[in-house]
Amino acid sequence: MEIGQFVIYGVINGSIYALVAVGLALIMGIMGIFNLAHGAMAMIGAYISFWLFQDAGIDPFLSIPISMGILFIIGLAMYKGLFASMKAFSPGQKIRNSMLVSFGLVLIIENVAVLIWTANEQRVSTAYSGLTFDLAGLRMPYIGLVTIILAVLVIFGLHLFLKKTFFGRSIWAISQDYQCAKLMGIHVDRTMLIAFGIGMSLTAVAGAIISQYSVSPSIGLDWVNKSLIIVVLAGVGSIGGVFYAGLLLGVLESVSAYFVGVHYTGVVSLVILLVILVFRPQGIFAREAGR
Amino acid sequence: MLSIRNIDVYYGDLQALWDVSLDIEDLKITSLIGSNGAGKSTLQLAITGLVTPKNGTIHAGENRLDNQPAHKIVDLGISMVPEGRRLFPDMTVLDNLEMGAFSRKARGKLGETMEWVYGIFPRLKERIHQRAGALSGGEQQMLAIGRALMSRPSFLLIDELSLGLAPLVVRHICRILEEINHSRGITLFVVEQNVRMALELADYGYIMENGRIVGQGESRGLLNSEDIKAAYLGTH
Repeated sequence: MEIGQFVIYGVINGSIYALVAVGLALIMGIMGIFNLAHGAMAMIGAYISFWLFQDAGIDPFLSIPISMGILFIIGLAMYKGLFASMKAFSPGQKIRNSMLVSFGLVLIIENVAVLIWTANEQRVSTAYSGLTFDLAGLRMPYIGLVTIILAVLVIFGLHLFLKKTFFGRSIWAISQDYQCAKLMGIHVDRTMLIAFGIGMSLTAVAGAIISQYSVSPSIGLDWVNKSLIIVVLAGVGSIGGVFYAGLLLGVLESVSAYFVGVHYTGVVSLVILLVILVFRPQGIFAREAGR
Repeated sequence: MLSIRNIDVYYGDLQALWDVSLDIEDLKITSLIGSNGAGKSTLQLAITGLVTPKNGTIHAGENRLDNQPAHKIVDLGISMVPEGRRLFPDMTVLDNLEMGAFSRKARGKLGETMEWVYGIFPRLKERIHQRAGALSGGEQQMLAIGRALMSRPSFLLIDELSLGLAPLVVRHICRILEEINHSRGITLFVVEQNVRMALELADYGYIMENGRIVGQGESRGLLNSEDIKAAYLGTH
């Protein structure tokens, strides 16, 4: 197979990575909550797509609004129940406590998922699964094309939402100084709640795509791993950077599979992550360290 | 009028304010002076709703403030310039000002208010696309005041205006504050360690020590009082 083909698969994989990571970039990078259950939420999103396809015959791309709604509500409950009480903590303490709490949550979600859906791998096969079209002599899957488009729309949509709307900028303001944000008339508690819900609902988009490759209850931690690498690569707090960091990771993994074989892709990407962080500890797309 | 009646404020078990009563008269400049740690900032935080008094009441006209959350108090026309400016450092000057107009009422008049603030601080207009964190100390203080004005307040509370600023800059900003007070009818409440500056700016002054109000009077009288001179001004 040509290397160009590996690049295409890398771009598609990278788009999925970025779609999973973007919600984490919002919740961790901006709100300062380390939610290890982020990947598990993408897993739930994937199962919701699977369910809606299997039982109601709804196409996984078309069911995205439904699963987003469900994950938004789960996100609200999760924030209220687990994270709202940490709002006055110092940033370090918030990261530590939320990591511990959410790790417990991962275990619970995984086990409940096994009870509901069994531990077997499942996938959604639509009429267009596996179909490709010709792109300059290379094969481009239709699902891949939609994935790339969705990644661009979701990530840059979120970026614009955070930069341009009053509500979006108030999330940003809270992350810089939550007490002072209150003085501006921002309803801090409600804003954090909704922002968390938004971050969770975005995993539904990734879930809809994951469901068409493979989903099992144990994928959550793998996805949160990838997302963490991407958020760190992009630079904590950078939303647009998540897209490029995702592509970078996806393409590096895929191309390294071409050169050194599939078994070492994970190693190669981690080595590259280390090298990048040695030279740019703040991440590639963040302005300066500590911001 | 903003009237504070017999408030006690605690941080955990530690009492910070003891039975504090104070009036901020409409259209006047009132100052609260006292040394570091006397409880002056705590009183401002209580007015703006960032801390809740255990006992006592705070009213702005007919509206009771002490049982309301901070984000509602802004809507009642009370705005604060916090100690140390507390700008949003990663946002531009423009974004900081727009955040100041977050409340629904202020948002409608955003453009008009913005022009007004630029009229007061022309320097900010030259810097609109700069990061707030990259401004000089004086510019940051102007931005903090500008941001507080964006909510169209009738009461403006200013905490430690002079902190870390050169005397010349402080004098410049004081002149602007007098102007805001006179021509725009905005009531000012200034909390200061710099006693001379505060009393020269204000019409009326309160003195706070160890969480209690220990004296009050017309500013001119306080400036000339022997006790104040001895305790705060370092002259006899």
